[in-house]
Amino acid sequence: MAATFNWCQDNGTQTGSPAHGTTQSGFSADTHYPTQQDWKNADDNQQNSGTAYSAAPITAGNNSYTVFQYGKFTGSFNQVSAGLWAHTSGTFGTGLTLKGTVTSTYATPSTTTNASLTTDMTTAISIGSGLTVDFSTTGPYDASPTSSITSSGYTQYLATQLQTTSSAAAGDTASAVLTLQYNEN
Amino acid sequence: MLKYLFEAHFKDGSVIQQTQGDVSATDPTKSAFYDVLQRQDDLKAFGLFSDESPNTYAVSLETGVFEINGIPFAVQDPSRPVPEDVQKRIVYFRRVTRHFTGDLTECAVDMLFHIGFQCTDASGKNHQYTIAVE
Repeated sequence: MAATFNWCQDNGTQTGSPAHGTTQSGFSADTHYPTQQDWKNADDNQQNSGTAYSAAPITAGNNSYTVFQYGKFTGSFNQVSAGLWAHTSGTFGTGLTLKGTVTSTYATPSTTTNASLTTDMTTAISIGSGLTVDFSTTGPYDASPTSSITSSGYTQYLATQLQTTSSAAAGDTASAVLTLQYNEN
Repeated sequence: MLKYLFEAHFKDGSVIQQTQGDVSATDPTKSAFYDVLQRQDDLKAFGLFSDESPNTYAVSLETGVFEINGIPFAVQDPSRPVPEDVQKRIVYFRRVTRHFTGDLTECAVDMLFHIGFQCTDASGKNHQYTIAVE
């Protein structure tokens, strides 16, 4: 079956050392794998007793909660390596900015403008120009992630926040495609 | 499902054939390619085949020559010929690209199969020669 991939997400107050979310959907033995990755005015995972984005809209001039998403690799594989991540298609409307970063540092999500998200991801780029993603067998919060793993593990956190101004239009945003790329064998 | 499975041919005539299960015969946490790497020095040829496609792709670890459907060809930078009389080490990986939107269940996955070899020239510089198959 080769490597098995699942999306995971941390939410809630930072806890532990190294810090991670109080709720870790999909982490380790948890199977509440997120099926939505929407930017919304709630810090939760809909698949883990959370809120649909339609019930937690971001009002113009405010930001989404920062989303701390990451990938999980299990199954049989020799190596997973060469991770890249980017916004690769879709155009955000007026008044919308997508900020993001790849990080091993979790911080309690909030709607305050997150200065740690240092990459402006609003404009789509090719995946080859994406941000480097490293891996760890212990968790997305590993302070010393590596460029490859040879047993089950995780990507770093792929953190994003949708920031808006008062000129943002009401309703759903245009759909944006984000891309995660890696090599496996 | 993997579109292409590999077949590794060794100098003693033995073959490791990847299955859809893709599990190592010696370590169930690893893939079949792990077994190939354990015998890399004895690897003679490595190829991809598919039930979905009539095409086959292969590389000789002895000569560095590639083949598509049995037709031989070389991959090289004309200014840097493939170093001769050096060990050629297998390169095989699948480049997985996951495109996702807010609805992660509609995630589209592309997979490119890369095969080839790498070798180190007399000056210690590493060279890689690969092809990518969709």
